[in-house]
Amino acid sequence: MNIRYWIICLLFCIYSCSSYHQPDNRLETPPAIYPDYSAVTFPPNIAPPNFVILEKAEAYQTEIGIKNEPGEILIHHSESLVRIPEKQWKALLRKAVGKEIYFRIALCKDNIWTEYAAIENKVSAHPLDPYLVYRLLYPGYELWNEMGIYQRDLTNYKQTPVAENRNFGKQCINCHTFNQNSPDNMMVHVRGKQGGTLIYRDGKVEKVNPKPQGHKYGATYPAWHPSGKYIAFSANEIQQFFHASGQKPIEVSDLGADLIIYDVEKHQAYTDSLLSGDSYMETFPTWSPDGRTLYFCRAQGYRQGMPFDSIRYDLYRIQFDVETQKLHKLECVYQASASGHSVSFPRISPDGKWLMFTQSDYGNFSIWHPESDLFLLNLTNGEIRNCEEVNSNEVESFHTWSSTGYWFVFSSKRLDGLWARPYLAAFDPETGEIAKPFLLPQKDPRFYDTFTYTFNLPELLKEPIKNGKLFIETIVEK
Amino acid sequence: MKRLHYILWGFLFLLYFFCYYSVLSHVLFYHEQHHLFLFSWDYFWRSVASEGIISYLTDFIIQFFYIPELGSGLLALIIASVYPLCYQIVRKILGWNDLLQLSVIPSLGLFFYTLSADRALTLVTGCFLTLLFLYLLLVFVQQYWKIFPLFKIKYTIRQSVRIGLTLCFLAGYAGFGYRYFVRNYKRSERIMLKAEQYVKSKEWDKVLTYTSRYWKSGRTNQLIAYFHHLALYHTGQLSYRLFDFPQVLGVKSLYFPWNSDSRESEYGHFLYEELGYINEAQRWEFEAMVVWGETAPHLLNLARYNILNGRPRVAQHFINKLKLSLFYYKEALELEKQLNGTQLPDMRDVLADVQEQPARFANVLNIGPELEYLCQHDTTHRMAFEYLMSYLLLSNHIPRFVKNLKEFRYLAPTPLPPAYEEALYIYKLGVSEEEFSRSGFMVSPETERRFKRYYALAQGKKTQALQAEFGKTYWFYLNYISPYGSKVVTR
Repeated sequence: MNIRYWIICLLFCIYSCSSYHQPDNRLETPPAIYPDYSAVTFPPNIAPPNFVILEKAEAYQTEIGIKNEPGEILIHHSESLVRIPEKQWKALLRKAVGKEIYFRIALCKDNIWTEYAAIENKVSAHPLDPYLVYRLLYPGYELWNEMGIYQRDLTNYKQTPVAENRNFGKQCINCHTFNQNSPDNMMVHVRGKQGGTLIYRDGKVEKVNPKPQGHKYGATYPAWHPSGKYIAFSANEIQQFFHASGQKPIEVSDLGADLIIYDVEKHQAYTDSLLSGDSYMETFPTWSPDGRTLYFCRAQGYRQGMPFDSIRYDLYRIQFDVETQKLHKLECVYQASASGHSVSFPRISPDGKWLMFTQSDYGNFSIWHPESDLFLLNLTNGEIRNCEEVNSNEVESFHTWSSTGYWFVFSSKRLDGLWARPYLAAFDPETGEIAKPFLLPQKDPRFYDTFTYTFNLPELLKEPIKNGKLFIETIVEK
Repeated sequence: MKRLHYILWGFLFLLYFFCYYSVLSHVLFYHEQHHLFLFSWDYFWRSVASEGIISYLTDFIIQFFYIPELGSGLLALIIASVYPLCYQIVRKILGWNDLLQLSVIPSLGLFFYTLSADRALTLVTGCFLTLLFLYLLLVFVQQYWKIFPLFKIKYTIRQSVRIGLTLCFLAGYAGFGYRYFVRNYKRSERIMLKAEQYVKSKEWDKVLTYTSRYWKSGRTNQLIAYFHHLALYHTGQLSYRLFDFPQVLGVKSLYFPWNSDSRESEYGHFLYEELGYINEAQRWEFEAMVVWGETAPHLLNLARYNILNGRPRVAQHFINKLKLSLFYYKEALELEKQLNGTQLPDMRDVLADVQEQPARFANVLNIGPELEYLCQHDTTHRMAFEYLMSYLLLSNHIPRFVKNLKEFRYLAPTPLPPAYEEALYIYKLGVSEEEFSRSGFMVSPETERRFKRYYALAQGKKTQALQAEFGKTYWFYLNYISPYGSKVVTR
């Protein structure tokens, strides 16, 4: 044995690991992979979508390349897990912008290589906002322990904590909200002994209580006005109820809800009789991009003994005069209750042409409603359609647009019915067409099989949040 | 004397092993049930990032507590080894033997630290690893630089005095240690944890042994009462021995109302699982997992409840976690085989086929309506019936007790348990002859005779005699103990 022998062996290994195995057979169907990264549209700045091949074999070969061109990435592996090298993937995406790419997979069984039909995906010309912010917590009911708000760099797998509640006495942190996909204006609620509403603006964090004097309920679901001067809140009285039987464990319902406007400069909150009172429950505010219209959901007011499955929310809007801060001209945009449905989470695209909302059979806490789906309202002509391209038999709920309007992210429980995971989908602002969505890629594609936290309120950001420490300092300061 | 430290090390190991295996076995059980070590990189990174490497290594050690002999041996070895490590470190640095055996003190200190179940074992692991690292560092340094011992001290006292001093100090440690142990040993904690252990393994007679011991000490504890009643039901004694001990907690001795209390969240699921009320069991168990983390009992129960509830993909998730553990791997595989059915051995979902419109929501504060609902839904549900009867008796609801007893008479033991007859007699005294006859029950002459005697003693204010003779009757509970007063609730 001398060193030359070992060098030859090493070179042989390297050669055999990187050489292309000519298939002995070819199949017409593509193999099943998990997560389902087939026929989807990727942004040109996404992390490698690693996946698992759901077929058993002795060896695997995955070739990745641009359609009708030779493969750019060749991966040999003895297990079914495909880890795409990050550098090569990024180089491929740069070349493949606006084109189709393929994952060509061959499996070796009994020394025979069988090549499956290629899995084809598209690469969009429009980059995705590179950061995704979400809260991670158990999908529990009333108690909580550890939770935190995290940001994920979508161009790689790096997740960093923005604020973890272990740093401030395990209090509940929730409802993180941004203004137009920018971390320059951010808001978050903290519930607990040091609780309050934290607003980040002009490089400073303030802890405030945006509840109008004499008002019954505290500020809950927020929406930043595009000017950054106001935040519209719904102020809700929320109760949980637990199903005695059946697969749906919980019902969360408003027993009362109003809308309030909080002026972040003057630290004043006010409401209007059109948006408050016991006759109706108003919730989930969202502003049009020009800041002149406030959209929200409205249902009949709750009365004692009223069945929860009779509470249905319609989509409303009201005009907002930016100069005088007056609200006027209340109108119903979509009367979902007339067809036995209920609307939640209206969100308007950055160009103001589209409004995406979640529709369920009743109530507004759609994350616990398996029937809840995403719908799209064309604000130009009033047409509404079911976003069948992205919906599943399980929950589709919270969603937010990217800053460009070419992408959106939404929560779906399609993998197992309990844990919400972020899915990303390409959107065509001209036609309103949506591409097949894909699950947020992870370094280990089996990550979601054992991860028991739910991804709550995924929000896309243009830049990373750098003020997490400031938030924590403001929470704990006396 | 030269081998004294070996002998002491061995002695400490055996002593600790004996304690952890017997009188402190509940401590090991508690730790094992509240930690789960997983063999995965993801778990490693997450653990190290959030809790630190010491916590990760502690969890690695705690997993072996699953086998009591192994766990006791391992923990005993770690704590006992603190002594020789201290001894050797002192000897290396100072160059003299530890005449007063002061090196025993850290080991004893750590042992005493573990007397309470809620003390984190990270301190033990941390101390042991720090000492081990220091010792190895000294050995390494000495090998290359030979700088130890730092001082050279020669004993000027005679050997017999040295031996005497050493023995005196050891006797002192033993005496102090024994006294400290006896004074700080937590008997109540042991009873509660042993009772819980046997509830989990469904060894009901053993549960009763521990809970009765607690009751007999004259103390009251909701958890003990809760376990006691579960065990009484499973040994067929609930309706006969419900008033054997003073029920000062009233209906709360039967169940835990939902108080959003993180400590209590661990216990609520036991009763609901036994009742076959799986949605409520699942809710309690999920809340417990949120608070206490992903430990084996919670993951196993959540997997089981979700299988019964027809949510195999959710169950699979919990099973996936358990499959990464050393000792729960097989149980996880067994559960995985049953994923696609909705049946599990020894478990049932009483409300599996219920589809109600409008939906019915659980009363999480008061179990009474839930027990009535279960009885109505499954008219053969003996446990729900016995708990309902107990609930109605404890809450002074005698007319409702009689109504439900009449409705589910076939589920009641024959002849009726004394407490039931006592309640019926109270009912009889409060209604007309005709109304009582409509209930279809008779009260035996013996019960009537006993009541006369009870009444006479009560009128004569002979409380001691009354308690001695009738302390275990429903009458005594209603008149003197019930937290809801002595009046019958007629609503």
